[in-house]
Amino acid sequence: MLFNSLQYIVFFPIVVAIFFSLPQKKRWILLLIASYYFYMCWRVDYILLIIISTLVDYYAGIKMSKEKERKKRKPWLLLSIIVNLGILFGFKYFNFLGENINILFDQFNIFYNVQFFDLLLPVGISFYTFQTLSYTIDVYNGKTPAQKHLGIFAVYVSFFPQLVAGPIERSKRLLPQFFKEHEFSYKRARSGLQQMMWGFFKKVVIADRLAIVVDGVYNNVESYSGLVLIIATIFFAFQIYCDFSGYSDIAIGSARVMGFELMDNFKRPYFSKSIAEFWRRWHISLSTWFRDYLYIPLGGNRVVKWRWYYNLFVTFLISGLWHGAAWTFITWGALHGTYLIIEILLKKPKNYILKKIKIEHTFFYKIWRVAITFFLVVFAWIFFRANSMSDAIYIINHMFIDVSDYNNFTAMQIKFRGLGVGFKDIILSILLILVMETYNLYERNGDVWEKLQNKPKWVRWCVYYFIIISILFLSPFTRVDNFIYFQF
Amino acid sequence: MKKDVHKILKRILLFSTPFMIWIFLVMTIDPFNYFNISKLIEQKVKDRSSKKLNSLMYNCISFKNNPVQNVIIGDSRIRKFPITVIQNLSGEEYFSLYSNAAKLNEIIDLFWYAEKTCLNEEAKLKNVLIGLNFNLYNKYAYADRVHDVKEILNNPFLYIFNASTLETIYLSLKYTLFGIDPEILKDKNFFWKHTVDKVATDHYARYVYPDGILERLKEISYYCDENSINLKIIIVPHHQDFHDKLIEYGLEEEEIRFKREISEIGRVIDFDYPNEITRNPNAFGDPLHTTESISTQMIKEIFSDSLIIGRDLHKDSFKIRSID
Repeated sequence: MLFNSLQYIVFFPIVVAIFFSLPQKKRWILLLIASYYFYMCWRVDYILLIIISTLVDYYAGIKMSKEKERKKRKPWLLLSIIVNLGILFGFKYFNFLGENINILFDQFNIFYNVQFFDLLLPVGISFYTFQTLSYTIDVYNGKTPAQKHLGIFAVYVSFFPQLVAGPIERSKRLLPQFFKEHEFSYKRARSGLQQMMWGFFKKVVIADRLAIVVDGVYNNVESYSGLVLIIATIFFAFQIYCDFSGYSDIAIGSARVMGFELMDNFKRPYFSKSIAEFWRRWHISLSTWFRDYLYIPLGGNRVVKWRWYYNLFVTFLISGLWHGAAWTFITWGALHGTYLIIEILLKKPKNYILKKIKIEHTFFYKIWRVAITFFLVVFAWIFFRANSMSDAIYIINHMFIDVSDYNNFTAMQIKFRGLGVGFKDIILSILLILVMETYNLYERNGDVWEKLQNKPKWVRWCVYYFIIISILFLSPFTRVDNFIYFQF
Repeated sequence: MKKDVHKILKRILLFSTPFMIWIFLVMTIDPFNYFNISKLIEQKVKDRSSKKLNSLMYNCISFKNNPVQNVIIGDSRIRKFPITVIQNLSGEEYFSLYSNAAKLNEIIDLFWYAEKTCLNEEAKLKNVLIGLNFNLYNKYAYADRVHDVKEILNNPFLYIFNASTLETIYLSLKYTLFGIDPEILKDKNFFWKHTVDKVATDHYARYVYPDGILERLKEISYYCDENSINLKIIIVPHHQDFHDKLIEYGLEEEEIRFKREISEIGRVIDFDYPNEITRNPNAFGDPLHTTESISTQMIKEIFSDSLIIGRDLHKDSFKIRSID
């Protein structure tokens, strides 16, 4: 079931109404049924994969809790890792690996073809796999107690607001919330609905509008050059942000209405002044997952320098692979790893120069840093969005040529008309991006919705009406309906 | 807790009241006859607002409400083909399923939409007349609005909260309550120059052969043969001022290729070559659209099967005509 569907608009209030009418002890049953139904609306049989992960990790957790020695807990952790990553590998990476082995065999004239599986990638598999894995790793490390209530553990794995695209929650944070008595609170419900509304605005008004241009260009790159490629790439940067952070907002808001607090996933990432800062603000639940369960176990930065760089690079390479089984994603991860290493290497000389010329604290230097970081991130997005490596290379080779062709609006209009997009749509898209970034700027000094509460009622309602009317009338509902991160 | 529940329900109800009023207003005015129950707004008002603003949605919905077996499909250039004259000449009921600024892929989509709508009524198309021109035979002449309309037809929510619905309700109310006609009068000379300078440039400055379109047209032709549907294609005329732009951009070879390929599909009647119509500025409202009387003249030629200006385009003869 999609958040931006009529189905969810009916489903969600029904679940909330029943949730608060049930006694606390029975609520997990409703949440489990609702979560499984939510998932099965997409495909019924794949719920079995979630059930397998749930049962294996529940059992592994219980077994580990009974063993005092770490050594004896290890086989159960391995069982959990093998089953979860095995399923993930089978569905997501097997064909990619086979494809590359076949290419390699061809190079050496070995006549053997790895057979491919014709399987549809289960929606959200990377998300719930990582969530449930974090539980078994935490139990193994003694950071969290094993969950004895199978039903509640099943809800933890499949909780519908964050099941298919996160935020990837930690057991320590989410599991206790299922035991807590949640009373309906007007203030909390209002806050949840506000966040959902803003999420819908970002997803259906901004991201889906930008998707028309981005998909049109990126699915047919060789028809374009110059400014159109630049605009499509910058639009993609905002599309993916609005799409994914919009999803996270709807997820967080939906959970909040029922009394659950999920972690923040985005904090104004395009205002970052460095790549390191970008990763503290972008997809926070995933980057902290990789930090805690991969980067730190590899040794983090408490090792010799070359090993530190290696740890960083490997973490980002795997993060790229997590997003998709394609060389484009791996390149995207590798680029970010390289950016971070270069940032570390340049830190000392940069600080030395800055001290000499004394511009470190100036406004223009801050703007410069934001612009450079944005440029690097956008450049990496080319690989993330391109349908193939050759498309990505074409874009890079052609995005700065023919720019002078667009010396008037007519030339631009002709280009965009080919995409079925009017020039007015482009202008509207830019205005909407500005609205969203203004919100983000305003959010730097505290929660926007809380600030709005201090305004007169008519101001608040005007803002709500503006957002909802935009959602209803400015969304290209007939064009795009999916969330980008579902494919991961 | 109960107090909080009452409070939020009350707020949601109050907040959603304008939306409820809006839904009621849309159902009452129903500018595109989507629900087809309210007759509060006169049909002529809808014709002057909805049909002009979003002819595609208007015509698709009208066709769905009253499907007929004979259709004319094309862009605004077939809008002036007089349906009553056609009906008198052919003795059959016709529907003009046009869409302003339709692209060739959309014209193809409209054919399949008409066919499916007829089949849903357990009828079959009998006669199909498609109007097109070389300026649509370009990869960049692409849009996907028929898909949007089909989505709207399946989902009343999309109709109620739609920018076209919003605008046409405003125009309809303005006309009904204050008698303000939504018609915008154009200065012919200005619009003529604009069409030649800007519109023609838009159409011809960037040309890429439209891969796949010919196959889609052949698919229609094959389907029509299989199902005994009489398919005719008309190449609608442009004034020579507009055609000169095509020459200016060096697209004569491509135009010949277009005519050759189109002639493989079925019966094609060509009005777009140097002749009394294309040379006469008085035959056009603007360089792309013939006047009502010329449109009637063309229709009489097509339906009485006595071509005077229009010419049957055969595979072997198109080249000579284009050089005429």
